[in-house]
This record gives sequence, C-alpha cells and structure tokens, in this order.
Amino acid sequence: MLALIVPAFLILVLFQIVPIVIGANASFRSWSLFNPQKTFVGLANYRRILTDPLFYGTVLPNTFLFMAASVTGGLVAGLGLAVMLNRRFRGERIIRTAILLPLMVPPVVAAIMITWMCNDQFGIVNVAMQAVGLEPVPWLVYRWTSMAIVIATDVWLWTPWFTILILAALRTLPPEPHEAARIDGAGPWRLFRYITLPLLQPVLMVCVVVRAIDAFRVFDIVWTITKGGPARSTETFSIYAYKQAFVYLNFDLGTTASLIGAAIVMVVGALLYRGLSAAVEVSR
Amino acid sequence: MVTRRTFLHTATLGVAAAGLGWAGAARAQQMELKIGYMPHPIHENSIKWMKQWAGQHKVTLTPVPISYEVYVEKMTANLTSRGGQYDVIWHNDDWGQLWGRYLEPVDDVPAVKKMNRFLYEPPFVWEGKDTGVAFVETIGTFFYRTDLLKESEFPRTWDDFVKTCQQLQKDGKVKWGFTGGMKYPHGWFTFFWSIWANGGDLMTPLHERRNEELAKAGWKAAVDSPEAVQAVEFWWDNIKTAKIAPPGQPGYSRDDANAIFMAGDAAITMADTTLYGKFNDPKQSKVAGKLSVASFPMGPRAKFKSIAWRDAWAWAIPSHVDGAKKKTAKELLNWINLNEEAQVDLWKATGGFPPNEDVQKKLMQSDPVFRKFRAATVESEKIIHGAYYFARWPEFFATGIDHMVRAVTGPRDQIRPTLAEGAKKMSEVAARA
Repeated sequence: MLALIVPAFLILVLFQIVPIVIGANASFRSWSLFNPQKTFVGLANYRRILTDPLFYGTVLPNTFLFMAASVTGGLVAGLGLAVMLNRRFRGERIIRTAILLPLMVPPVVAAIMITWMCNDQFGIVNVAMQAVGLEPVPWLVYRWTSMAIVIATDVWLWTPWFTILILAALRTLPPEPHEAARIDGAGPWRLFRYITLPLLQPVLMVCVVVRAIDAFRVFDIVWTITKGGPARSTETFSIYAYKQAFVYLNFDLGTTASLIGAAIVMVVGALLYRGLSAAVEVSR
Repeated sequence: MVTRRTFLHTATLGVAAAGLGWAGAARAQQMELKIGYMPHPIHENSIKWMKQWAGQHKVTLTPVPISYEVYVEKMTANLTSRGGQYDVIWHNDDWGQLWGRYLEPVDDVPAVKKMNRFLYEPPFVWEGKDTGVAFVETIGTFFYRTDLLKESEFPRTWDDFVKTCQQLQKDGKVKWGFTGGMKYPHGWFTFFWSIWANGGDLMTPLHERRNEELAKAGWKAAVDSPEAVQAVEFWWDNIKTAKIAPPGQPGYSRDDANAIFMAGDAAITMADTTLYGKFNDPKQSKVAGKLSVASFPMGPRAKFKSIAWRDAWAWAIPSHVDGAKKKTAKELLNWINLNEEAQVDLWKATGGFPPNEDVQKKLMQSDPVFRKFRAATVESEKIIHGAYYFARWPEFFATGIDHMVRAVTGPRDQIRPTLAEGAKKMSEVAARA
C-alpha cells in the first residue's frame, strides 16, 4: 500500500510542497531577481503588498469583479444553451459541435483574435460600428471597456464548458417531478424555476466553485489582451504578482503577493464549498 | 591471399579507426555557441554574419529567439541561475547595470576600441570593465512620407508639427498626421522624445546618467517638471482636440504604430533608425520608397536647437560560460565589428548605424542617405542616453509610463497631479537602487 502512495507523494512534495516552501521563504527576505541578497526582513514584504493602494484598491476589486462577472456570465449563457439543446431537433449534432468550438481554442489564441477584432484602426468591431453610423471606440484605452473585453472573452471561452456539464445533468434528471408539475398546471417557466433549477443546484454549485477558483487565478487572457493596462487599471492578482516578480524583478514581493492571493482563494474556496455542501443537502 | 581471419581483423581495425576518426572530428566540431536574441531585423542581420564566421571556423551556431516581452525576465533568470541556455546574449543598453555583475568583461576585444565611448559609458561598464560588444547604434528619429511632405516643409516646432499634421488630414491626404508607440515599454516614441525636445528629462540633474551623480541629487524623478507636464499636455491635445494622432494611441506598442505607418495611414512616425529597412521594404510597407528622416520638432521650453539619443545594442557573454567558448565568442564578435562588409550590410539592410566608427566615416563619404540620417540624429546639438542605468530602471520606467498613460487618458486638469504622483513613486523606486 505504502509503495503505491510513495511515487505520488514524492511528486507532490518535489513539485508542489518544495516550491511553495521556497516561495514562502523568499517572501520573508529581500530577494531581487537581479541580485538575490536574501536578507531576512520579517513581515516587511507582506506590509508593503497589503498597504499598496494598487493592490487593495484596484487589483483585488478587479480580480473579484472578473471572477463574479465571468462565472455569472458563463453560467447564465451555459445554462441557457444547455436548456435549449436539451431537446431533439434537426441539426442538433451540428449545433452542439459548433457551440463547443470555443472550448477547443487555446485562450491565448482567442485573446489575440479578440485584441485584433477590437483594434481601433484595423478591427472588425469598429468597422461594424461605423457601418451603422456609430463612432469608432478605442476599446483598449479605457479601463472599463478593456475590462469588459477581457470578461467577454472569458465568458465566450468557458460557456461551452458550463453547457456540457449542465446538459449532462439535465439528461439525468428524473422525469416524474416534471410530469407531476405539468399535471398540476405548471407552465414552462414555473417548471424551470421550481423543478429544474433546484434539481440542478448541486451541479451548478460544483461548476461555480471550480470555475470561481480558476477565474481567481486568471492570467493568460488578461496578459494577452491588456497586460494589466491601461496604466495598470485592469490588473488582476496573477498579473500583479507576475509583474512584481518578473517585470520589476522583485522576486520577494512577487512571491508575497502570490501567497497572499493563495490565502484569499483558500478562504473564498472554503466559503463556496460550504455553499456547495448546503446546496447538496437541500437538494436531498 | 587474404584469409577470412585477416579480412575480419582488417575490417574490425578499419571500422574502429573510422569510428575514432569520426568521433575525433565530431569532437573538433562540437563547439556550439547558443545565441539568445530577440527576433528583430538587426539581430537577424547580425546572426546572418555570425553564421558565416561560424561556418568558416567549424563552430555550430544555435540562435535561440526570445520574445521582447519576456526577454529581461527570462535572461535575468538565466544569468542568476547560471543556466547553460545561452553562450552569447543580446544586451540592451538599459539593462547594463542589471546584469553587469553576471557578464564577462570584453575589454580585450579589439573591436571595442573602434566604437564611440559615449555608447559605453555608463551603460556597458561594470566596475570599470566593458561588458558588451556593440553590434548596432540605436537612435530614434522621425520618419516622414516624402510624397506628402517636402524636406523643407517638415515642422521644426510643436506648433508647426500640429498645423502640418492637421493640414495633411484636412486635405484628405492621410488619415493621421502622426502615430507612435505610447504604452510601456514603448514610451520613447511619444512621451520621452517630447519631454527631451521640450528641455526636460526623466530625472534631475537634467541629462545626467551617472548613478553616483543621480544619487547625490537624491534620485529625484522629474516627470512633474513644467517641461514634462507640457509634453504630456501636448499629447492629450494631439489625441483629443487637435486629433492628429489616433485615439487608441495610449494603448499602442511600437508595433501597432509601425503597422499604421506602414499601412500608409499616418504621415509621420517616430522610431529607431533600425526600422528603416522594414519601412522601406515594399513587401511589408506601403510607404516604401517614399521615406525620409528628420530630427525632433522642438517644444517651446527647449533652450537648444536639437536633441537626440544615442545608444547601442550589444552582444554579451555570461561570465559562467566556459573559457573556450568565451574565447570563441570574443573572436566571433570581434570579427563582425571589424568586418567592413558586415558593417555596411547592417546599415544597408536595416538602417542601423554600424558601431565601427571607421566604417561610419567611410559611409559619410560615400552614402548620402547615411549623411542624412546622421544629420537628423547624432549631429544634433545635444546628445543624451535614452535610458538610465540603475538596476531599478525597469520598475522606474514602467511606473513613469503608467502615470503618463493615466494622465493622457484622464481629464486634462488632472495631468499635473497625476504626474506629481508618478514622480513621487518613481523617486521612491529609484532610491531603492
């Protein structure tokens, strides 16, 4: 039994635990990437990150906004598509495959594509806007338009994931409650609201927990589209940590930010998990 | 008669000898130099000539491209971890102090003596030793379209610059008067040149680049000076009221701006001379064959007639590379810089100034385009370095540009306070140097 566990345990220690310990060590030292002095500085790095107005005033709000908006957007769109696809119709397979396509596109490729679509000089979005008489918009110059593009890209990429999982759950729901409700005169909306949705709750909660934790760590889409700009206004937690460590070469502050982020995501994850447990309990 | 036994002995010995010979030859050819570089016409030109030398000297050359966006972090990690990924690396002037301690001194490369010392001090000097062998001078200049502007019409002041651009747009000759990179790390092509052309600088004392002097002055950023504030206001007006530059410009990299210029959508841009080859290539650019260069239009506060920056890109050798490779790399870098054909080809193919001053003197006599480029740049009244050379420069630079972008995209009356906040933060960053 022990022999079966040891390989996995060793891999976990070498590639997870040891790097985390090294990172934690760096967070208590003065450690620039270009000249690693490694002098012990206690909690100074934590103080610097936690009192950085950019971190608590822009980075954390952006991270939670991104998390909430992209999870909500993906969930609502995925639920809608799953309900639509949960019936027999001509061309059902083609439509289902087409809806899954974004899931097969690497996020960086999608982000580059969206960046060009939103380019103020050559982008198709502004061409379309001008065609209907609207003024072109420099999408990536302003905080909220940039943030909206980042969130929309993420929702587009992740909606199929929600769709697949919710569709699978819909196909396994028992027909009896729906039939009983129909006999009692419930219309389509009431059926969905009071029967389908409560029965789907455990699956929806799993989707939300997994995606929320993943969205908290978002890096690729934000980096490719805005690099945290303009003027650091769309920075999320991962971009902030990366910039500290690898653009400003403050390895100590980068690892400190990462550890603070890890602590935050653990708290958020625990709260969401508690919500999930409650949802599963209710659905029983 | 050859017996079976004799034949087998002979064959075995033959095979063994051939094997040993092959192994020996392979060992003799095994010297490999791995070159860490950024994909750019200048680097590619230099590597083309490196390959020629390598072919003649039985050295295997392995160029390893690294994106500019991650170059500093990737190379810093490689140098600090003494990684064996590269034997020769691209060493930009503004990373001089960042990497100085990890680089092999190259004072013993004779070609270095052929270069202008201004290029070396302070960027490529660490503890009194040179740390890079320059392969091109990088100098910013204005490119303009000769089908839209005659040389005599090129604006000399900011006022004329705006009027000229507006007139071209009003006449329907071009979509935008000017375009240039603005966001980090591309601020040279808008914010920086205009601050310098208005008599300002990023730090005080003005135009000082020696770290000891900057330290004596208290590492004080100067982006809140009247000259710098006026320069950022100039860009705010150019984008929002005069509308001579695209509204998306605060988000542009140099590549975005170059694409607009090469598409024929802007009359003027500001870029390194090293982009001349690309701009003038009909396969890539609609403005090929109708290009010229000019010096910076001057701002109202400047006390001198013209200004330009003059820096170099160099190749360097990590100090942890083994001795034989260091020796070979030095021979290679020396050869390129002393090879007149390679130096002239660099200029002809790309527009980059060859660092060998003997070659520059010859080009001055034989090449009118080179004379024009020099007149627009290094013959300016004031010559400065385009960066600073303390280790915190990447953070200092990013902090400055971020505040300038914030100022140029916010309300006009907030430009001064935004830059004041930026100057305070930049000074704090520099003081940690």
